[in-house]
Amino acid sequence: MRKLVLTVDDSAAIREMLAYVLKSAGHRVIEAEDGMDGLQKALGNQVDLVITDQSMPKMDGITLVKALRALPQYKGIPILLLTTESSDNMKEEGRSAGATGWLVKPFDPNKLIEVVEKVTR
Amino acid sequence: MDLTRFLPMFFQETEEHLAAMEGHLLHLDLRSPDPEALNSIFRAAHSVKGNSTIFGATRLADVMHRIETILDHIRKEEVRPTHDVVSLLLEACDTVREELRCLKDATESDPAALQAVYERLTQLTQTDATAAEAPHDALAPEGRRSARFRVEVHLPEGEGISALPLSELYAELATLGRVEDVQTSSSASSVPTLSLFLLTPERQHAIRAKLVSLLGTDNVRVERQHTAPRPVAQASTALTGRAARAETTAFGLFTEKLSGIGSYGTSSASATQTGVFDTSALGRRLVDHDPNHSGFGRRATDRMYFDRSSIRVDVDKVDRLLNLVGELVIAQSMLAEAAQRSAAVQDAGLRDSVAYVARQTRDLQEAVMGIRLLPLDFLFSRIPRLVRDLAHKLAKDVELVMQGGETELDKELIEKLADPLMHLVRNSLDHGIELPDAREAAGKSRRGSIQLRAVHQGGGILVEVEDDGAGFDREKILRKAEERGLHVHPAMSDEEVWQLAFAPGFTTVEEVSDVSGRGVGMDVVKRNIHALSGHIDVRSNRGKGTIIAIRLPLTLAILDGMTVEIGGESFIVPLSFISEAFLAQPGQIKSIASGPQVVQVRESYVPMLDLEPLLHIRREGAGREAGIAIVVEADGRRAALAVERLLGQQQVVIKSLETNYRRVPGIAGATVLGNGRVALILDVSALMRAGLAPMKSMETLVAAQG
Repeated sequence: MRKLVLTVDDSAAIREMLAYVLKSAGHRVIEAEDGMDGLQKALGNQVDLVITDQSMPKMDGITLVKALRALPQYKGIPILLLTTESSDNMKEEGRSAGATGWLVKPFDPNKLIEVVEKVTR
Repeated sequence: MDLTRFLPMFFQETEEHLAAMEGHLLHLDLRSPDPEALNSIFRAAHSVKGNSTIFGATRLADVMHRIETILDHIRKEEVRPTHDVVSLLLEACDTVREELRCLKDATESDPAALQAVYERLTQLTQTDATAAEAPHDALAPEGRRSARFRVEVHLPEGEGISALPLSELYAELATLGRVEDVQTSSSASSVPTLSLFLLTPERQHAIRAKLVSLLGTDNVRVERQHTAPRPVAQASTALTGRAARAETTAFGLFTEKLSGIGSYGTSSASATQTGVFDTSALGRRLVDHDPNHSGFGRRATDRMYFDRSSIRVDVDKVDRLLNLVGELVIAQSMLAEAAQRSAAVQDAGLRDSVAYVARQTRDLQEAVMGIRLLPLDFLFSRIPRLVRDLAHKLAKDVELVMQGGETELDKELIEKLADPLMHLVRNSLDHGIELPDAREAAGKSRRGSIQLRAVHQGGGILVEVEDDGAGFDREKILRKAEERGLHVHPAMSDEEVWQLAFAPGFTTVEEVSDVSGRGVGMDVVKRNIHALSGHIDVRSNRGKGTIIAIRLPLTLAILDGMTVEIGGESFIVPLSFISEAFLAQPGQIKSIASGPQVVQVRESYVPMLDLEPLLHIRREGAGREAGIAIVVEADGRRAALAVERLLGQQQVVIKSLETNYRRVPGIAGATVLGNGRVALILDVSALMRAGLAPMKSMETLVAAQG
């Protein structure tokens, strides 16, 4: 199924790479460069999945997750956190904010596609 | 799937993050660091760490992890950011940058350097004794420091969060500062509330006023938080977690085994039932709403969210484009000339079309050249670090002020300006600015000042380095110049004396320091600036300070030139050198003993350049006598060129002789004229150097330029 994915990362390289991988799997992609931008784009489009970085200027990923979960239209939309490390702290923070899962950078493209399929099913 | 093609982007971004880190570190207020500045440094460090794992550079990731830890200590006020701590962090940035460069070029790096930095960083994280010395808020300068505010917006009964103009609200918050936490309470018992934390340097009432005016309601609470700012999300994990290690060796990017995926259960499947508010209906209601009515009626419709979109393009592609446009400009002027000559010029249609092509070609050329323009900040950003390190080393106290960093200049010029500019700043700091005690004794403030300014001026750019130091010492320069066998006399104007400082090998410094003054320098600076078709001027006031001004064209690709005829050949004289041109009457030109001819320009006499030997041309009888004198100015000196005819003023596309043929002294380059012929562009200052020293021939010039 073709999904609309919002990718949020302040790194243009990561965004391009995500877009490349996601588009090659047939998905459509909207990109945002920080949490605030991501929130604006999520408000402007009803997306099927959000993949967000954690550490970003203006608004970080955890705050974005919380802000999205505060919106009725995003209560049930899967949100994946893109992280540099997978510590218990991070997991706890992500879980309590309401994220669906996490993905450690650097990610394997096939794995990413697999996860996307799984959480948007 | 091959993702290696994204690597160059990652490298570039990593470099940008390092530069950002460095910039913030340099501006860090050591007594009272701005939490948001610390967060920015932390984020940059974190990004570098993340990217390092993408490159498979685990050692880099380890170093960055240590840096994160230190930053976290600083943020929690457990470690004081002393000068030494910041120096170490800056040094670590340098080492990481070097390591990255090696990775990028696939060359061997020095593992010892990275290891050494790593150990020093580790040491710092373990000596928490410094924690005792907490920074004192009382010393903090008021103003720029960010504070944390809790913002609460209460919604009217029966409304949900979607009743808020969320997009505008978040946009407004983004202009104020950083949003850190967002929560909604919508339990049946209490008033629905949107609450968040905002980190901003703005004042409490200003924040509230903005939100009240945006939301059109009084139900906004803004409270200043007095606790230490909450670190961003990763802070805690940075301390407890190990540095992320890519489980591959060497250049292990994007392979399997690297990714972990977890899931917090089935939260995604649940809960969509809260959608009480139909958003489309809501939109209607908001529009219909009476704006004077209390509630969420007013919407800030004047706020638009623009997508800042840009692409990165290889410089070679841009250069190719620029080259093609250059060829097009030449083709266009050939076409214009051909049309002019042809009988068909009577045809108004053809004439208009030719004019139209000319106009469009110029616009196209300008647009393409605009792509290559970069703000000078690319260069200026390197200066604070230089000044900081050097001032520390020389035990001087200096304030650096930079203005005009947004001024744009061709990329190549920016790159080539870097060394000369750094050299000038080093010189100002080393030779200009005095030691604090000496300054005090001279009745100046202990803290010296170096100003760096850039402005657009007359189709070019002016970059000035000004210091309020000791100024040039006229007597000393004259004495030294004499010792070096340079031609001096006491009546020389200040400008001429200052130019002596640019003579090869010239230095007034008695002892050679390891900072500057190694005897190479100012002459190299000057040569580099000249190679960019620029000028360098000095204004200095003994005891007050020095201003060194560099004038540069905006681009190296085109040039405003005067096409002239000398000895039946066409040459281009760059307009930037020309101060005037006039028809020389026979009586105005005089010969003086053992020197060049001079031409009278109002009250003064200007030496004439004997172009025949300089350009290897031969003028026929008539050409020698009558003529037009063009007065040129370079390096604070004036000279006149005798030319037979002025053929017109035009922009020419510069073609390098060096790359296409070989370097020719006295010639800056070549261009193709509208008639299809090649014209050489005169290197005015080189010609003056060769022509004004008595009887120096082309051969001496050749020898001098090596």
